[in-house]
Amino acid sequence: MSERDDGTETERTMIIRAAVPTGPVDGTLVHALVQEADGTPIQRHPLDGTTLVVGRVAPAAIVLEGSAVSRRHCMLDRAGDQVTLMDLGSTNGTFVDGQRIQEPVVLADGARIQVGPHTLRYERRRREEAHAAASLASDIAKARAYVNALLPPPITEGPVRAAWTFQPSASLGGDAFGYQRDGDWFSAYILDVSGHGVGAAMHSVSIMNVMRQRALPGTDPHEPASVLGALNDMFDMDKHHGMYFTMWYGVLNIPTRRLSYATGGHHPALLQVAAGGAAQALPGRGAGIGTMPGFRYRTATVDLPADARLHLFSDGAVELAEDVREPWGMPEVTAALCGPGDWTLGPERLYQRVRALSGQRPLDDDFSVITLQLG
Amino acid sequence: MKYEIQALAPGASRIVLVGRADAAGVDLIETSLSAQLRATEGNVVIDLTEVPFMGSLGIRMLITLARLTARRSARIAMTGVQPQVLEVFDTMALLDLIPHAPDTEAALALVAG
Repeated sequence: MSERDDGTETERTMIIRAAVPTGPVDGTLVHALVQEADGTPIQRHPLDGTTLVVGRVAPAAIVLEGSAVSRRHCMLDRAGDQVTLMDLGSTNGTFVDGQRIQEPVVLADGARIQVGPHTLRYERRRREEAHAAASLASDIAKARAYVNALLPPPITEGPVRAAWTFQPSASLGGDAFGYQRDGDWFSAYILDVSGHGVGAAMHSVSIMNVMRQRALPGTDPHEPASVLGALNDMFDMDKHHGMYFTMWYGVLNIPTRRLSYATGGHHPALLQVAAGGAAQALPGRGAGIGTMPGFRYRTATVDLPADARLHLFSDGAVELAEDVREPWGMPEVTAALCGPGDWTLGPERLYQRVRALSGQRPLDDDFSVITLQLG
Repeated sequence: MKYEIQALAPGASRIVLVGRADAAGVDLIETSLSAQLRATEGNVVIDLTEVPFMGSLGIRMLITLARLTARRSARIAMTGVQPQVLEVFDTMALLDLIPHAPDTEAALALVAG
């Protein structure tokens, strides 16, 4: 609180910014191994000394679990700014970028080392860049945790069950989804914010909170077109740093099994009418949310059979990196998702297929797939 | 990704986009293209003949170009959209915002009104 010249009191918030170093740039390089799981960094191991052993048991500096990891598996040797990797006669070998090494290899920045089931990415950075990258990684990890905390748990019992796989990309792709039951109604949605990073993730969190709290004034949640229309008004891209999102939103009346849905530029949902059977895309068309003020969305309806299965997914499931040569489109997605076997494993089966096609590299976009099973 | 702005006809320019409009590609040109469009007068035809992929950021860039053009009371149209990209545009109703014509002449006629 402070006092103005006219004697009235005002509240004042002081914004204190951390000091930014202004000294000369330190050209020192720092080296590290970044341990990844499903393409996501989970632990950073600095290469401070001249040698470092990776193995299954101490005294290895990096201890990795698993029967495919030898006690002393491989070693890194640093000389100046050059880091060399050598296998220590391990049973299952050491791989660099997919190739088993037969002799010591000088690592390039970004090289991926495979030790048993574990992936370690070699990173070489200027000290300032390393600090900035660590800070960004920390922000992204917090944003990822926030999104994860808002996702609904799978549903294993009841008239509508749900299974899903969500794997955010390393930079966060802005995917989110949710579902909830309200008496005789079951609603579900999936969305994908344009762009990547903490900003896209926080935008998706804002939308998730609106959906969770049903904070769309004057809107009937059982009327999908009105829900998308209200979101379109609320999240105009000009007022949200140029970000828009695509969305599929559907509501099922459980006793009648009538599904009403609308789409805002999102991939069509896949309807599978028999276990292991073919699936059909539910047609839909509508502007990306926030792209066209006043756009009139349309609600479509479809009557579902008793054992129907509905699949919702995001870009990461259908759009692979440019250099993936194998054909990949809706027929392949459908085959992976709708194959025979435990329906709850469909999303994970599709994810593993996408990962395999991508050479087990980190995905460029978030991967989100939800399967809803009736009956 | 790269682009070129060409004078097409009196009062109309053509923006030729080349390459995949994915996050990396769009990042290379978005700021510069928007700035150049602000300095360009008249109607705009976007040529997408050499764009085989259009991701969400590519679509955002097109919407931004459409809004910039509309703000100065000019018109915008697209031509040369490849079938797989056209499918994405249709799903997103983007053609309501930026109409598509089969060739440059037809696109010019569209923007001329």
